Amino acid sequence: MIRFDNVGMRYGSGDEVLRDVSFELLRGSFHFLTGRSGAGKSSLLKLMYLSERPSRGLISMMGVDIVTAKRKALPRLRRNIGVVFQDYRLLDHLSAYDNVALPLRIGGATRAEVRDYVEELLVWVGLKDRMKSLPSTLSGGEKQRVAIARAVINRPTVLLADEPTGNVDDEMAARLLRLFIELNRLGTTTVIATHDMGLVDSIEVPRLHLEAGKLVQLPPGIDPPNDLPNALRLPEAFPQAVGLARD
Amino acid sequence: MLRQIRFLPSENIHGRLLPWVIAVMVFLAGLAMLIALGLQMTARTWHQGLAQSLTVQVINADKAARDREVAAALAELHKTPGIAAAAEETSDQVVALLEPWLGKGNVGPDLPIPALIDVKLADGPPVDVTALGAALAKVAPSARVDAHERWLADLLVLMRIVQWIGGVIVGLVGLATVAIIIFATRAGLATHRETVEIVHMMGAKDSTIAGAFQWRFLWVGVKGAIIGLAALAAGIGVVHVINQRLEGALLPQLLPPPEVLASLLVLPVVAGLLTMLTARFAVMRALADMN
Ligand SMILES: Nc1ncnc2c1ncn2[C@@H]1O[C@H](COP(=O)(O)OP(=O)(O)O)[C@@H](O)[C@H]1O
Ligand SMILES: [Mg+2]
Repeated sequence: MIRFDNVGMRYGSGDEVLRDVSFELLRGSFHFLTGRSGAGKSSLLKLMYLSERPSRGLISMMGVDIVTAKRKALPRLRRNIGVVFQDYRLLDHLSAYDNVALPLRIGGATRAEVRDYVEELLVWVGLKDRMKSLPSTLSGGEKQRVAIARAVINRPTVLLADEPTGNVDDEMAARLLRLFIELNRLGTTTVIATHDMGLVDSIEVPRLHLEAGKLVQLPPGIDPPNDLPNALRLPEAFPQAVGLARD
Repeated sequence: MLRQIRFLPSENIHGRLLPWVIAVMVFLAGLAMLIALGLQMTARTWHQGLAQSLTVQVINADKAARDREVAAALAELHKTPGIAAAAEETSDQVVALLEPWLGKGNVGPDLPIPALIDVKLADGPPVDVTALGAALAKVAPSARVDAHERWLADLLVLMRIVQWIGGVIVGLVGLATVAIIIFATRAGLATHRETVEIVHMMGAKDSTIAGAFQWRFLWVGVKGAIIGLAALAAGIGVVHVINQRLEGALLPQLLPPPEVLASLLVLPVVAGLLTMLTARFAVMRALADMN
C-alpha cells in the first residue's frame, strides 16, 4: 500500500531531514510513527500525502510510483488519502460543517450524502452544537476534532494523522483513537504520528520510529533504545571556577 | 468545468478595485468603438449616396444663356448611357442650399446663382466623368461636372485612419485589461493560497479550483462592463441633449445609429469572457507550480 525505498528528503538546499528511509506498509495496517520533536515525523507524512517530493529514492502509494507519476494522476490519489495536519489547516471562512463536507464535495458526493455523513460524524466527535461555527470560534481541541472528521469523512484508503490528539484530553484522545481503529477495521491503512506515549502504549500496534531522520521499525510493545544520558552532569570544578565555593 | 465547489470566501476575492477598472476599460473601449463604427456607417451612407450621383453646374451670369446651356446639357445627359435621371434643381432648392452659409433672406433674385443639374447614375458600369465633361463642354461651354468622388476620397481616407485608431485603442484597452486581470487573479491567489493548497491537497483537480475562481471573475467582468456601459450611455445622452439644444444644421449627427448602439452590448459579454478566461489561465498557471 505504501512503499519507501532508500528515500532521502531535504528542504531546499538544506541537510537531509530524512535519510535512507525504507519500509513497506501493507493494506489495512495500523502504525504509530514516533520520534522526538524534529526527528522528521511530519516530513515523512508530507512525503506520503504528496505535499513534498523526495530528493532521492522511490515512493509508491497504492501502487503508484509518485516520483514518476503524471501530475494529472495525483488528484485521484490524493482523494484517497485522508490527512490530519498537525496545525489542522481548516479553512477559516468555512463553518465546521462545510470544512468537514469539503472532501465529499470534491469527491462529487450528492447534497443528501453530504448532509447525512457530515452530521453523523460531527455528532460522533462531540461537535453537534458547533456545526455552524467558524474555526476562529472553536477551541484547539474542537478544531482538532473538525480536522479529524474532515480527514476520515470520505473513508480514505490511507489515513495519515500528525499529532491528532495533541490538544484533547485523555478521554477524547481515547475516543478519537477508537475512531481511527474503527476506520482501520473497515480497511483504511493508518499511520499516526505522535509523541504521546500514553496513546502509543494504549494499544498494541507496530511502530515506525524515527531517530534524527533515520527509520527503525519496531514490533508492538517494544520501546526504542534510549540514547539520551539519564542524568545531567555539571562539571565538578564549576562552582570553584566562578568563585562561588563556600568553605 | 461547470460543477462548482464553494470553498472560497463569499466576499470578493479580486480586490475592490477590479470591477471599477473594468468599468473604465469598457467605457474607453466602447467610446472608441462608437467613434470607429459610427464613422464607418456614416462613410458608407455618404459613399452610397454620393457615388451614385453627380452634379453639373452651369455658371453663367446671363440668365438666358444659362437656361439655353442647361437645356443643351440636359439633352446631352439624357442620351449618355449609364445615367438614370438628370433634372435641374429649382431655384428654391438652390437657395435652400445656400441659406445656411449666407443667412435666411439674404439670397435675393439679383444674386447670380449657378444652375445645378442633379444627375442620378444608373447601377452598372461607372460613367466616365472626364468624357462626360468633354461632351458637355461642346454643347454647354460653362457647364462643369462635379463628381463627388474626388473630395469624398480624401474624406474617406481620413475616416479610415480614425477608424484604425479606434480599433487600435480597443485592442490596447483589451491588452491592458488582460494584464490587470492577471495581476488581480495573482493577488487573489496569493491571498487565498492556503485555501487553494488545502483544497489541492484534498485532491481537487486544477480545473475544479480554477472553476471556483473563473465564475467569480466572470461576474466581476460583466458587472464592471455594465457600470462602464451605463456611464457611456449617460455620456451619449448628455451629448445628444446638448446637440439638440444647439439646433446646429452644420453639426454632424452625434447620436450613433441604433445598430451601432446595439453592438455595444457585446462589451459585457466580451469583458465577462475575457475576465473569466484570463483568471482561469492565471490560476491554472499558478497551480502547475504546485506539486
Ligand atoms: N518547511 C521546512 N523548511 C525547512 N526545514 C524544515 C521544514 N519543516 C521541517 N523542517 C526541519 O526538518 C526537520 C524535521 O522536522 P519535522 O518533520 O517537522 O519533525 P517532527 O514532525 O518529527 O517534529 C527539523 O529539523 C525541522 O527543522
Ligand atoms: Mg511534526
